[in-house]
Amino acid sequence: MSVQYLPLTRDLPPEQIVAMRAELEAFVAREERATPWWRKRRNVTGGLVVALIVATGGGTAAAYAYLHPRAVTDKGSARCYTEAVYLPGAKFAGTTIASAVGEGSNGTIEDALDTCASLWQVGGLRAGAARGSGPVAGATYSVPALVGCTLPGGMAAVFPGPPDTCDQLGLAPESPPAVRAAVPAPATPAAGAATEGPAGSSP
Amino acid sequence: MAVDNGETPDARLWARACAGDHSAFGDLFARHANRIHNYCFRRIGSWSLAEDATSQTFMEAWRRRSSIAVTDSLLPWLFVAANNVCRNSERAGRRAANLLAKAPLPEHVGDHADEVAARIDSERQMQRVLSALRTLKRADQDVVAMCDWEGLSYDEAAAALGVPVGTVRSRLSRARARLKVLLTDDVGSSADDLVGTDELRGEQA
Repeated sequence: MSVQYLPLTRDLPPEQIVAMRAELEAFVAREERATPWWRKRRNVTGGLVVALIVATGGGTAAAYAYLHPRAVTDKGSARCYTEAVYLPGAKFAGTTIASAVGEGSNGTIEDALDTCASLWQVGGLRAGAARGSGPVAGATYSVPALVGCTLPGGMAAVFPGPPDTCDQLGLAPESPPAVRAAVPAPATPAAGAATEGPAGSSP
Repeated sequence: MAVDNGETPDARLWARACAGDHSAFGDLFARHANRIHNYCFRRIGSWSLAEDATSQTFMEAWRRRSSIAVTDSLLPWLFVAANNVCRNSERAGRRAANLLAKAPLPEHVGDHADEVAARIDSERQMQRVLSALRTLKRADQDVVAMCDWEGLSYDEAAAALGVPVGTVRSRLSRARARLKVLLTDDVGSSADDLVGTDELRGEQA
């Protein structure tokens, strides 16, 4: 395949592919060994627990707390993600929140889920946006379903998505569980699409 | 251990890999390594970084295996994983380049001169293309690379990127129009010769 402005393709030497393949298979074997038993069987275990909880009238948050929850230990800041994508590293789609130190504040984020939800509500976060933006004065936006996970470093990270989002991303859910249902923007004559635009003001 | 004869569908190999058959994952790597290697080169513009990115792409796909539902080919999912890996690699590469820029230049090595020259030429050519591509929105860059450069259909790209087909179509249209201007200015060739069209894309596979 060649688009005219692209250089010609080059194949890796066969012996290099063999070597890379061996490394990759060793990596997969290591990952398998390093995966705890409850993660390896998470589909079966998770399904059983969800079925049990649903059958007994409980919530899915309780079901996923059973899996591998972890408490937030770094409360100096937290991350509000705008999409359910996690890659190790400093860069992410969303914004970092921190509490101002002052009267009535100890400089820690105690409820990242609530703070991120507030940002969604005022238009400071938009689905898929690379970064947060300033709130839109007088506007109220819909808030997606949110879930709190604990990053490997112990910081809270709040993602849009269902309660099993942390598991899907390979992250530990927050302990105690932090989940929040979606909240549509209040219906007003001015608001055409509650899920997209603000209510009570023009976009 | 089953040996890949090239006929086992990706979906079956992927299912076996996820069930713990490491050699099935190895077969998938052997099958797609060159495509991913060239894709990574096109996203980064460096053959050596592309080699690392190729391995990392498969590792990334493996880590995300629970969220990858392969029904036909694994390639679209690998391209998406490669998009993320290459962006990280690009950033690391820029940091390394900044450091190297402060170091004295090494003596020129004459061995394999033709091979080295060809690699350098292709890297320069790709860097010119990338400097145009990087003026586009990140999402637009991905659809150009996946659809125009790799020949994915709109449906395949949409499924892998998790966006509607219409979004892929509009992103691609916008990106092509912009690239046509940028690459014509840069290379001085006829724009329609350079930039993909639906008709051209069908012939490139």
